[in-house]
Amino acid sequence: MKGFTLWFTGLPSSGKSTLARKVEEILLERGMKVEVLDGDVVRTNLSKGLGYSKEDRDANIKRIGFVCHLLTRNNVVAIGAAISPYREVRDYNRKLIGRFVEVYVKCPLEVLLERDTKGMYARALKGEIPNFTGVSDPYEEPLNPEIVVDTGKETAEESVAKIVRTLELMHYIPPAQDEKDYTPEEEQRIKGRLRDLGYL
Amino acid sequence: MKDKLLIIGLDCAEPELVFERWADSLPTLRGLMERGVYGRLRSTLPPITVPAWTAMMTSQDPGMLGFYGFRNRKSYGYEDLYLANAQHVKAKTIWNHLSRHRRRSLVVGVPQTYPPKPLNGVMVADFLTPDKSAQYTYPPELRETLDRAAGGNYIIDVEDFRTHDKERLLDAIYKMTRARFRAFRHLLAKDDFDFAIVVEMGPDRMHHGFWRYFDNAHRLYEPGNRYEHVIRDYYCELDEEVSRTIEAAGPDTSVMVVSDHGAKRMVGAICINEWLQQEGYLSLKNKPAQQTPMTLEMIDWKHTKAWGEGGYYCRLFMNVEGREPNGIVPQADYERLRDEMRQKLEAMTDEEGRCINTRVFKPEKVYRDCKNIPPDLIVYLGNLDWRSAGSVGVGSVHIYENDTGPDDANHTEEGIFIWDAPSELGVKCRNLYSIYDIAPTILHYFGVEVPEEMIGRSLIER
Amino acid sequence: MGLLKRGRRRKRACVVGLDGVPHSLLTRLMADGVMPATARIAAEGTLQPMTVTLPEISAVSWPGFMTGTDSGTHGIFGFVDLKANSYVLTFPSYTQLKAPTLWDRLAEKGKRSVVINQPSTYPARPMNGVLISGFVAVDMAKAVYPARHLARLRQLGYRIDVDTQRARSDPSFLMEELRSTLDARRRVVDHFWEAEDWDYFEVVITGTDRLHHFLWSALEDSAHPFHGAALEYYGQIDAFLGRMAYRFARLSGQDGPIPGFFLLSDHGFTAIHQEVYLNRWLQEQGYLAFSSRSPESLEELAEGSRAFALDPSRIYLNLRGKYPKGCVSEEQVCRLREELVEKLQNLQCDGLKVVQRVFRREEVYSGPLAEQGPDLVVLSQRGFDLKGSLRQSEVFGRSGLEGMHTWDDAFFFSDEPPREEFCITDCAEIILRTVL
Repeated sequence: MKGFTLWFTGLPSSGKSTLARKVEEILLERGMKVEVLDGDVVRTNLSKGLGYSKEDRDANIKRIGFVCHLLTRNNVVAIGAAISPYREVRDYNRKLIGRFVEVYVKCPLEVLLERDTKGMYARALKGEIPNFTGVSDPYEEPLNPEIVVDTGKETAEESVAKIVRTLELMHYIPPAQDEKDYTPEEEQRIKGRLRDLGYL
Repeated sequence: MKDKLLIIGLDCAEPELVFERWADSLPTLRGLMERGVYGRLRSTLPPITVPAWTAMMTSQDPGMLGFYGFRNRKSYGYEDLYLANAQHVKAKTIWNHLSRHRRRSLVVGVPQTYPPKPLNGVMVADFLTPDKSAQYTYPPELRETLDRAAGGNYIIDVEDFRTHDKERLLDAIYKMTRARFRAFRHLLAKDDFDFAIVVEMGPDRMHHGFWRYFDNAHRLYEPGNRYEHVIRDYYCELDEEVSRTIEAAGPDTSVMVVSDHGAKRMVGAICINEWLQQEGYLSLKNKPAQQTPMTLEMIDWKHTKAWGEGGYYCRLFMNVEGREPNGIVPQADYERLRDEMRQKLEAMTDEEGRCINTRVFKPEKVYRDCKNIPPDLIVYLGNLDWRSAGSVGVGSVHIYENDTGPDDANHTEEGIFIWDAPSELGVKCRNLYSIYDIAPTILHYFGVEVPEEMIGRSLIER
Repeated sequence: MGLLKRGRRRKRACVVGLDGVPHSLLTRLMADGVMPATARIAAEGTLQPMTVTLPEISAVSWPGFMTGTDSGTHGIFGFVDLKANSYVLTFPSYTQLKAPTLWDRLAEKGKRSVVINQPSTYPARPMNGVLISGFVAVDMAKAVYPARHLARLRQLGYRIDVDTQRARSDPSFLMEELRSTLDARRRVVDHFWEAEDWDYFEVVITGTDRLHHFLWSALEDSAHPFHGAALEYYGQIDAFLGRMAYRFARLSGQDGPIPGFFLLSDHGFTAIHQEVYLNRWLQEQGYLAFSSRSPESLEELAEGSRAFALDPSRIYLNLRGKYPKGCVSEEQVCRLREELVEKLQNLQCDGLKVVQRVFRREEVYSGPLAEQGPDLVVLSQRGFDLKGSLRQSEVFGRSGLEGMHTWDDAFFFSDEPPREEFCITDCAEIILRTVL
């Protein structure tokens, strides 16, 4: 199976890391080689010392992109999860890597402010955190993402299922085993319908 | 603590033979027992290959898994039973969990793994594979090289183990066993696995085919017969294979040897549908003149309250109004009728009028859930001394030759558990372990959190 | 209502499907004044006949439309199929559709779709927008994506289909069911048209197919007691189509031919003269035998059988290695196939030719899954309805059904210029071009 990069972008706390982890688990279970490069984690090692100015953010995203590129060309599924607010750099990574699937983790700001899972929006609004994307720093929405998940409306499972299904349809990953997805009762009823219409 | 873990599964290996009667002739197994812990392993209810192995691998009971034997009802209609293979296993197995945690597994011959699903590792599916032209390995390409790995011909299962041609059967079982272990060792050596498991069906086939020749209490035993020692010799062969396999796995591997249930002599078969007719629960459209397998078409549903299926254990199904298409038992009468049938079953005797100690279970009382279509009653005829025969037109309730071919042995509720667990794990030596504790133990061993849905507990105390 | 980019109208498409409506019937009803709104729509673009898939049934035709490919690529060969290496019947579901649908491809480009009552999409799968599965859906809870719309659908009294079991023998009941199902469909369409943001909107009316199966003669025969009711139903369909065209035009803000508005059917219909039981014919010709006198399933196929049929018109050679009781070897395939083709082409009933043409697999299916398909697909002459039934004692017979499908009499409406040889698998590209 050929590698590819799955790139999660979106506002802070929109669910990128959560979705990245859940997709990782599913792909691992299916026997694929997967690695996750989570922005928060990378900032403690590869990108240690980088801040949140545009230059620093770009450098961080390029570093993650570079590693994804190496993994991808060695047939690993590389999952990047970072705010990556600037379109230009996201597109730069796309061009570099080639087999690149962008997932826009969309969530309305009102919902994020209300949920504020890490309490950071409140602090940012008070001015305690400068350069906070969505509050005091810009976020440039993707114009043509391959996948859009609306974490304001969907459950995590719905989003994950959509992502995995899209990857199957785009032939990035093999489809799940054919399952018998009709229950016995359903099959009986379907048989009955088909018979009524003369199909059986 | 050792990095890797190996499970050698010997389907139907009997504790009395391994721990007592032949312990001295089985040096490798004895060595494991002495270094670690061992005991009987309480199987599933019922103690049958399907669902026992899957229950072991998932730590879910048959009701949670949704299958109660090899063949199960698809619906409450009167159709053929379907064979429960991997497609019907929705629960997560040990190797599914290990894959999620980046551990690599080798899975060979574990029942209900056909058709194979992807994993982090390698899989050769089980005897439910229709034949070798099917896709029964993961990765798929492995199929091409498997024969060579097995030393010539990988054998999925012996053909027709209920046969009178004992020479052929014996030869086939040996060939199959040797080929499987050789292939397993080859695969083990080729790659780096954290967890490896092989299940060999040979002992089960040996017991069913040759029990009468060695058990002097068996009705058909003849002293001095030529097959008197074949089962013992086969166990010695297995011990030898275990030894070679442990060697191939390397010193850094912890070893478990398990079986899914044990074996004992079969006294005879109860023609359950003859009994049901006798008791007025079942009515056929035409009484057959001679012994014939019963098909559902033969049943006069308007006058039938229950029918039974053949097998090592007996399943009874009731013809319930509003549930089955031509059901006649009113819903309000269901429990009363079940209790009535239970009492009569428990009082069942052999031909000489001696009570045979039949045990009867209601699925909702013994399982945590009852997915799909459970039998209405689960019956151990004569506490599994007798098997169930589905045929009709037999003329009697008790027969002594099985209606699907010669079969000398039935299953018992306890198999074997042996593990050379290092003492620092604090695993207790017990007389009886539970089949549901195996999967939690393995996950715990690899430092993986044991999921809530697993009903057993890890044996590791520290 | 939609983002209007400066100077550029938002590109959208709206598709209304009418299951089982023949081009000939539609044109006749328009000419007779039964469907005036549709006539106005048709005048603004091109309404043309269209061939569909083989076999010409909804289970294959709709996936052909949805994916723009044939069964050899999308993997659905009929309502029923056989499990690999066996004679066990399975009912392929949406999960077995192996090619991306229109809305999957739109989703790749971030476009949102609302798809209502699309047959062959059960159980519903995640997609970008709203999907409500149509036939064969049985459980509403599994027929809706995302599931949170279920409550609203129940509130609106949504119905997936008519009660076919009762309707097949009770014409008044059928007409009542058709009416209430159409009403419910309309309410749901109205709701999602406004409530959801979409680039692609699709709704399929399946009542027409039901009417045709059970009461085709009511449409053909003006003396039929339900003739008036049948025409009235088509009047309601006409009103529905008119409304859809009108509000789509309003969205686009223009008059004249509306790019992006499409109408189609998945096959045509005609009266049944005789049903033809292929498995019986194969038995009489010595190609097929069963081990019991009234077989319940193909699993009772007797050794030595060389061919068998699956509904409605698919013939499979009992190949060694492919099927458990397979006995036809590689070398025998060619000759056996041609022998069957010739015999089928010569089959007659009361002096009439039964078969129009017999297609070989490679003539119909291309793609990685073509090998899973039948060896032969039979296209019958109008009036002869092919069936795969196992328990018939004669080759020809009748049941209570009145109408059968046709292969070349479906229709397609768009603002594209007319084409010769237009097939339902050509629709997807045209529609995608309008939105992307």
